[in-house]
Amino acid sequence: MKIQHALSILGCVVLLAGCWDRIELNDVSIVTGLAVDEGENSKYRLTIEIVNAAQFSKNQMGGQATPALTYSLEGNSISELLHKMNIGVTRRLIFSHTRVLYISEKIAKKGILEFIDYLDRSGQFRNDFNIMVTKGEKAEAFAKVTYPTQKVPSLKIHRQTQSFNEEWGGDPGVRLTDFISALTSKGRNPVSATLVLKGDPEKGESSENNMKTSMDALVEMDGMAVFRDDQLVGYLSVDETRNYYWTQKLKTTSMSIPCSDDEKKPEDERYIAVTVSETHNKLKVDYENGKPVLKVKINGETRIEATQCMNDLTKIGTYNEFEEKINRYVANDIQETIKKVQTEFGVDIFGFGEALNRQHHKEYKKVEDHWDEVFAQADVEVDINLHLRRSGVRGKTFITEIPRE
Amino acid sequence: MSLFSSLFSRKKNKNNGKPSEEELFEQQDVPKQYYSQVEKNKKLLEELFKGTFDFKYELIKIGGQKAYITYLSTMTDKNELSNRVIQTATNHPNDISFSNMVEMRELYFPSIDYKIAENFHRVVWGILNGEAIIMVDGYSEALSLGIGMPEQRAVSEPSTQTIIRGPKDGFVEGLQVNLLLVRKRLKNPRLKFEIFQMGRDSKTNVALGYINDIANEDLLKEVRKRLNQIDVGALLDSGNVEEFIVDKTLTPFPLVYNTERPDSICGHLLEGKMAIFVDGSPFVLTVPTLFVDFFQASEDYYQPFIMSSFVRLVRYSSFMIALLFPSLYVAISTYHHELMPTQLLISVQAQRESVPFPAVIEIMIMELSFEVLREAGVRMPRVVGQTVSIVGALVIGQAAVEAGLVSNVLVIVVAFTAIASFVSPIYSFSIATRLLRFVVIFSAAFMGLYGVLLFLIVMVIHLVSLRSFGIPYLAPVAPFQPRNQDDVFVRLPIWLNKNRPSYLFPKSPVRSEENNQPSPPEQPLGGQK
Repeated sequence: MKIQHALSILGCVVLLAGCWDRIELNDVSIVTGLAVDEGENSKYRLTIEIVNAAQFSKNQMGGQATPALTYSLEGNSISELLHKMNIGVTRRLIFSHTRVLYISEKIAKKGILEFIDYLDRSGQFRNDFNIMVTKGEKAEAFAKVTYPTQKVPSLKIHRQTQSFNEEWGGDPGVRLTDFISALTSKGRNPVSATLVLKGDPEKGESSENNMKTSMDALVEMDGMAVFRDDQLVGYLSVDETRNYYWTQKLKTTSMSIPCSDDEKKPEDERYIAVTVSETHNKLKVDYENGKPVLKVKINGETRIEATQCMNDLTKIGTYNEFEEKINRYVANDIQETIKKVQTEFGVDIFGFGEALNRQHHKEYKKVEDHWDEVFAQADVEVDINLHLRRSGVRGKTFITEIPRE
Repeated sequence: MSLFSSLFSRKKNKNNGKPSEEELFEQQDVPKQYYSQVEKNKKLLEELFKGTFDFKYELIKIGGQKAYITYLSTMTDKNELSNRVIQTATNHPNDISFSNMVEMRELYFPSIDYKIAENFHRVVWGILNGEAIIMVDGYSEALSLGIGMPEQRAVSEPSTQTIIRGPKDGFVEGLQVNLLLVRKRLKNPRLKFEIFQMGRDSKTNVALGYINDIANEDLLKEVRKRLNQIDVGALLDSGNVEEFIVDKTLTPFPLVYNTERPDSICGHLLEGKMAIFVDGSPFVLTVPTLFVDFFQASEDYYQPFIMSSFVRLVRYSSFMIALLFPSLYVAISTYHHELMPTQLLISVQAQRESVPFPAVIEIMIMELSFEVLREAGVRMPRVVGQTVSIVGALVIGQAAVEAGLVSNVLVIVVAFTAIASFVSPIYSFSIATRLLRFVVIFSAAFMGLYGVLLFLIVMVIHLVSLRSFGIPYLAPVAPFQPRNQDDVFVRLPIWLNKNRPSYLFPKSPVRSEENNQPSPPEQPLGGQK
């Protein structure tokens, strides 16, 4: 009898629990990108980007076809639209491989809270997709520009942001979870990367775009967007984005630093090119004379990649001199970026508020509700401590040995 | 369930109703009485062996008396018979007298192995074993001369457990040769072989081998008890014995280890296990058997321990691959698309575009056709082997993919699974995964990874419930015994392996006391530098 009971329970497990979410791979379409625009008649115009997987098989059937296709619908909520997509597409959609969410400028300015909630709540999306604000063109245009090596547009953007983030730091590396945690924190405001479309969006839609070495249309990274809560307030350039990211999680970057301190025309100036690695960043807020001072402390290592200067790289003095120059240059850069954010946007995107909360909880509680104003007024101190360790496989540069008159 | 239990559970309180050899002969209406008048005996024999051409007898004179030499011509060595028995008997002068058969044998055939058959059953038994029976008129017993012809295959390399380095001899069908192969390796007076006769019709010799001062006494009793309980028509292979002595038959996992390799048997005997040799079978059993035994090849002990340890880990992982790979494919491709990297998902989807079946049907087609191929490969005559393999590889491998019946990635999955399933050194273990694989594929098809997990839970519960002669099947992993881990997942160097596994409760638990770690000489050779 006992065994019969056990068997019936097991049977229930098999027969009742199984199969409900079973769906074969050839019955789904993989959505890789979502683009949100303002609708003409309704609140949103949603575009999905679907992979045409058949195009990626070795023995293509039906010849050349598009690697990805898009479809747009208008409606008042994203979730409703996503379920209605079968108006135009054949298969059920799966969203677990969504890589990029394109948000058009107009929507971003109005506020994106209303649909971010759905993406966070549904459980169908991974929380690690990129959030991108698109400048200029409509967001849907960005989801259509193909690229030869990474044929699916969103996969291209995803890979591109990752590489750019790791190699140079020009992408703020914002994923859905980062965005939401910045949104909910009072001591920080969210940011997102921005994209811009170079060239002709019409031509970019065709896969013939991939036939040229210099493409007719290309999606480029364009710094980042600054939000006040969920509303777009402005942009930072790619360089400023790097400076911003330097206060966050930057690992490596590179830059050129003038050899001499006196102001010259750029074409006459000589530069040293350095790369930075192993950086450790720390944000602090201290109260000095009752006023908050924002402190950034960065440690790290630098390496000379190339030099145009005449300085003798076999001498320790040169290294010390360069080190000082680099530190001053970087400190200046970062300070300017922070100042710009303070004056132009007046929102704390760096998380100084969070740092203050950790260090001086009581002080923070006093200013919590108007932290952004306090932030905008605060002094900034940037302390850069980069060590120049190496200069490649050469000591003296041959430039110093070329005879000159 | 009662059907199952009656089918599979061993009858525990069977009152050993197995008939003895004598009773058996009586049941078969073989008379017991041996007469001193040889003619009478000859008549009886003729009656008994009526209708078979190979029953022969010669009428000669021994010591002036009428005598018969009877034998089965198919079972005896004809040269021996005519040169050493008939010729000697007839050449001797007829006036030699003897009082009994032992004396006669000393006078006539001093160098031949003999037995005294004091009743008629023994006479028949001797004839059936290929012995020549000499019945002399006027004596109340017969002489049985062992000149049986040991007709058998020469010792050759085992066909099921090949190795690269290590001894290349394997067991054969003859029991004597098999025992010799073991004795030759273990020159130890405490190595005992007990003989049992089993099978009402076959009278097969079964030998139980163990090392007296290592093997546990209680375990030995249990093995003897189970062997004595066997009551069967005929034993044609050790597989028949295996089914009689296992603790549980309703399990896909083998609870008795079998091998063709004498060195492997010696290794097991030295751990404190017992070996069961069955006459007529080159596969020797050892008991008790553990799950981990099936991952240990004898070559592990002949190659450097680092390599053997690595290979052993490969074996464990291929077991998991052979068991789970197809079901993981089914589960992930029908339930958990998010678990695959995007690029992989796209390329898998691209390959599946033209496949008309659900993933589970697709994989069942391939797995079943592979099973068919495999079975055909084993059963078919060697000469047509090539035809089958070409057709199989072409039809299943290529044409099915090109026709769009199955996807490329699936062929990879099935092929890799198949190869992984061959990694286990013991065939009877690899066929266990073969069956379970189908169960887990269905489980995955119904419930996805959840189903795979449920299957694994049930399988592990089943595994820990198994016993082999009372020893937990999963020992020394579950129950975990830290002291016995030196030869489980990795093999430690032999000089570190000083203790016999304690889960077998050996009488002497220590192999060697001394620290045998090899090292360079303390003084540099060749004097000072």
